[in-house]
Amino acid sequence: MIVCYCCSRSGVPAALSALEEGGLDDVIVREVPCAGSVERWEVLRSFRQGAEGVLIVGCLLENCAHHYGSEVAARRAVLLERTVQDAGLSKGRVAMVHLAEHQPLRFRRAVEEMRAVIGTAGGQA
Amino acid sequence: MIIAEKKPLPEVLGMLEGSSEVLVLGCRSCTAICLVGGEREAMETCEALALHSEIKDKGWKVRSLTVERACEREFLTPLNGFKGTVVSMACGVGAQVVQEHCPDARVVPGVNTSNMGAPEGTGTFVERCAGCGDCILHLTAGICPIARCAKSLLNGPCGGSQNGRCEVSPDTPCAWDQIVKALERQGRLDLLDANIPPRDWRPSRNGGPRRIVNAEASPGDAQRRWREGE
Ligand code: SF4
Ligand code: SF4
Repeated sequence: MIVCYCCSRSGVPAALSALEEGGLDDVIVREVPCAGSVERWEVLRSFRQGAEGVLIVGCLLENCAHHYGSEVAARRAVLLERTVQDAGLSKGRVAMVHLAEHQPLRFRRAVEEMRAVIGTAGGQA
Repeated sequence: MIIAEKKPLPEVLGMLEGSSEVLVLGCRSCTAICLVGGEREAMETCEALALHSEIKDKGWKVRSLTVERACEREFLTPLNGFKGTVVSMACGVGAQVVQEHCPDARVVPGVNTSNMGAPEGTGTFVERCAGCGDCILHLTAGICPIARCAKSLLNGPCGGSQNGRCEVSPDTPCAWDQIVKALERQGRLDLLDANIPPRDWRPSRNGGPRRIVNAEASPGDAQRRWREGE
C-alpha cells in the first residue's frame, strides 16, 4: 500500500486523473490543503497503519499556492525518510513529488518508482 | 528562550532498552518555539518509537503527552505516580523537574539543550545570553560580548575581526563590530574609552548550581526545610 498525501490544488486532481485510468489499486489518496501541512507524525502513523511507502504530492516548486509549502514539504520528506530508516524500515520509503494538476503521468511514474523501492526491499521490511 | 536540538533517533532508541511503558513528554514553552519539543514533535517521536517497537517487536507501550511547561511541577500533575520511561522533549531543566516529580520513573533526554537564544529569521536560532550572572549590556549597546563574541572579549574587537565578520566563522557577525557600530549610531562611542575591567566570574558557573531567591515570594527557611525534606 502506498499512501499519497496530495495537495488539494495540484496533487488531488493529478492523482484522481491517474486513478481513473486504473492500475493503481495499491494507492490511497489523502487530501491535504497543502503539501506543507502534512505532519511528520501523520506520515509515521501511516506506516504503522500498513503503508509500505508514502508520497507527499505537492505543487511544482515556485508554483505553490502557499508560496513555500511545497518547499517545506520537500525538506520534511528528506527528514522523514531518515526517521523512517532510523525506525527500522528500508531506504527510500518517503518521497516528495512536485507536479501540476494536469500531470497525472508524473503521479503514476512516482507510484511506479515507489513500487520498485518497495519491491526490492519486500513489503514493510 | 532555551534553544535545543533534536537528538538522533538511534540515540534515543538506545536509551529505551528494558522499557515497557514509554511516555514522550512535550513542552509547550521554549522547545515548542524552537521546533524540537512541542506537541507536534512529541507526537512525531511517539510515532517513530511505536513504529520501531512494532518492527523490532519491542513490545513498548508508547504514548505522548504535552504539558504547558515541563520545568514547573504544577503542570506535571498528569504524570503523578508514573513509573515507566519518560522521553523528555523539554529542555534539560524540564527533564530534571520531571525526574523529581516522578522519582520512580526513568527520564531520558529526547533533545540536546544548547543555549539561551532567539530566532533569527525562520527556523534558525542563535545564542544571545550565556547567563553570566552580572549583565553588562548597558556598556555594550545591548549586544552581549560574552555570548556573541567567540572569545567573550570585554574590550574587543580582536585582531581577527574582518569586514564585520568573526574570524571563527564567516557566517558569524563579529559581536564587537556590531557593538561599535551600535554605539556609534546611538552617539555613545565615549563608552569605548573606559576599559571594562576583568570580570568577577563568581556569579557565573563557579559555585555549583546557582540559586536565585526572590525576597518577597520565597518563604526562606521554610523553603529550605521543604527542599531538604525536614
Ligand atoms: S552580559 Fe551576561 S547576563 Fe548579560 S546578556 Fe551577556 S551573558 Fe547574559
Ligand atoms: S572577530 Fe569579533 S566576535 Fe570574533 S572573536 Fe574577534 S572580537 Fe570576538
